[in-house]
Amino acid sequence: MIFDYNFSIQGKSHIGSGTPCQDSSGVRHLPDGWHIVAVADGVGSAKNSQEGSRIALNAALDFCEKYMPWDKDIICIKSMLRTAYNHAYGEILKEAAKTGEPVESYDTTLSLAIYGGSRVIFAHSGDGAIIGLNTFGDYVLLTEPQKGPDGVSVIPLRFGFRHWKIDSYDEDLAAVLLMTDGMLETLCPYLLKQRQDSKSPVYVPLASFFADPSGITQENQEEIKKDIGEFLAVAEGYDKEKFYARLSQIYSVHIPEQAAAEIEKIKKNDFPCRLMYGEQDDKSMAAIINTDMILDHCHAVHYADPDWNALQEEFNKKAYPSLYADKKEEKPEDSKEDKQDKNSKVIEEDSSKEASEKSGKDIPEKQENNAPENPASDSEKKEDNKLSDIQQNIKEIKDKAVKSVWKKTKEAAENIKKAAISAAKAAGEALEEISACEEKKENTKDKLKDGKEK
Amino acid sequence: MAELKQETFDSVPQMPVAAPNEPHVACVLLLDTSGSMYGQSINSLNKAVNDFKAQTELDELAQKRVDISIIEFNSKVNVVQDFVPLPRMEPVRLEANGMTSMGVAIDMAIDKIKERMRFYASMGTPNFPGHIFMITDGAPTDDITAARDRLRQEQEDKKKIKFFAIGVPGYDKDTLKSLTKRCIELENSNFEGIFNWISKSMVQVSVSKVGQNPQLPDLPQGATVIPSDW
Repeated sequence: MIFDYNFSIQGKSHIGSGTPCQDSSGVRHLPDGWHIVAVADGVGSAKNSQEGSRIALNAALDFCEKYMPWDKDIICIKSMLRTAYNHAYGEILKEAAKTGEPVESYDTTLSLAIYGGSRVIFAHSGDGAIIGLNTFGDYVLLTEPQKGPDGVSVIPLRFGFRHWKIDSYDEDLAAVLLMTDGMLETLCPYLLKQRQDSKSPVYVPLASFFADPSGITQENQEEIKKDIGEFLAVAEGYDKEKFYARLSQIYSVHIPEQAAAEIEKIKKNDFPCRLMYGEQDDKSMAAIINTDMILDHCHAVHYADPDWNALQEEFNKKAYPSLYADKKEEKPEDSKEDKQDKNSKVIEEDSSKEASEKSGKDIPEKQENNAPENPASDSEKKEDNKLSDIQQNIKEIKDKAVKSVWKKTKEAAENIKKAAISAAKAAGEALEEISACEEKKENTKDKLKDGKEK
Repeated sequence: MAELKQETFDSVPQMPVAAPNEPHVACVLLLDTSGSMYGQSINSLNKAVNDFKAQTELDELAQKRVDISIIEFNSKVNVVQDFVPLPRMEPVRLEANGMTSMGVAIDMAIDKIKERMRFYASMGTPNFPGHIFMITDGAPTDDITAARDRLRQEQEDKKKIKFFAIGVPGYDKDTLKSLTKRCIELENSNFEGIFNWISKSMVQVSVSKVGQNPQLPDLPQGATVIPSDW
């Protein structure tokens, strides 16, 4: 049977700011066993993007529903999808003309998939995602988020056919998941993207909850749908045990002997729930799942919680190289000049190389992990250390000298200032004395004159 | 020159993984340590920088999200500390001497932020615009024309960097205003208040959503915005 759902939940950040949910989602079922699912995300900064996402989504779904090629030829469907996207944008243009608002104010993304029970043909515009679950049990990213050159701004539907991705996936899929960017970042945390073993960046425990068909029946499908909706909302007081109960049901099918142990490990970090709690944006998730498709059972490690500490450590080594003691990982061809230029630029002609090499990095005394690419001999190491010590001493002496000169210069300036003040005072006093003498002289002269006259 | 002894990840317990999807923000403290900062000013600056870590550490999200780097400039420009997460910030002991190579310093700070953001992009790490907080008590002694143009491009055109210029008595107002709209004047060289504000600002940024423009806290007493259109 086909199990489907679609939810668009207002994000916590939008609840806080009073912004309505700018996401839309929808599913249509065609009478011949084909299904259409779509999500759209109004661009945050666009004033009417909530309307834009709704208009684009419904226009595209309506168009596909009405004009699906009867022969289900993939080339015809792709052609129809391009026209559907044009139509969706055309409806936005009409709305903008009607309201007089700029068309950019309706900017939205749009992701749409047409699923025939095993194969998918899809169209994509923006930073959302379409993920497939194939019959090998692997999650595959069918699309890449489309962002501007700044890595942040979104490429919306309005940017036209040159940006729209219209394609099909050649393998059988048991499920197709469509989501907006908030959920993509939750389902594919960046720590998983750096994995060396070329594994999918999808977080399997979380993705399984949304996409795995195991355990879904006619009787429980409404309850499971409700659980998915509640989990997406993660409202205050959400019961995490519901999530783990469903996960347990799925894992019991794939890894019956290890399911309990793996679930306990996942519960310990509780990352599935914490990732959902942490997502503040609007969340849209829509899915079509064929419960009749039989999935391969993968090894337990596929379903296990990744080693997050190891992944974080990998990230930290790349993010904070100055905090790792292993200086031998430095490329041997880095010249001293390169190291200088990287961390220090010097204005004075007599600036020392030692100052730039220091740059806040102490040369470690001992390396725990000796990289094989710098097999310097002991004597060379000793020479290097000796040279470093000498350079360090020169630097310290220079620093002391500079400090001493500054101090003496300042003291000299103070003394000059004091001397100038004293001199000025003395000059003032001298002038006063001169004035007094002049006055006395005048008085004496006057007295003599008076005396003569008498 | 500052003397640092970095604790390495080998010698201290690893930071626990709190959540595998934290966005990051790169923050550069760009500090004038020219000769005119000698005495009370440099002492106050050292204390404020060292207290900054303690204040910002109080916030759990800031601890995980803020990557901090310290660059000093006098006659030379020196990276005192390359980017580290807040809990790994080491104490500094800056010393004042020399001229004021502001142009080269700004250039280096921009380089550092851009290198950092390129790293985030390569790892798929969500991130906020880079923040540079420059503190100066003087006028530049080198040519800042190229740095000014570059800063304008990064701030106004690309919006990848937010540059805050903080002047203490002795600073050149026209120079700061030519660099950025975000100019703050301190009435004295007591830096405690402004670093408290920087710490609260980084907390505010780190709890916001990527792509938002969070409201920064009010400036402390003794600090005023130099009028502009921001």
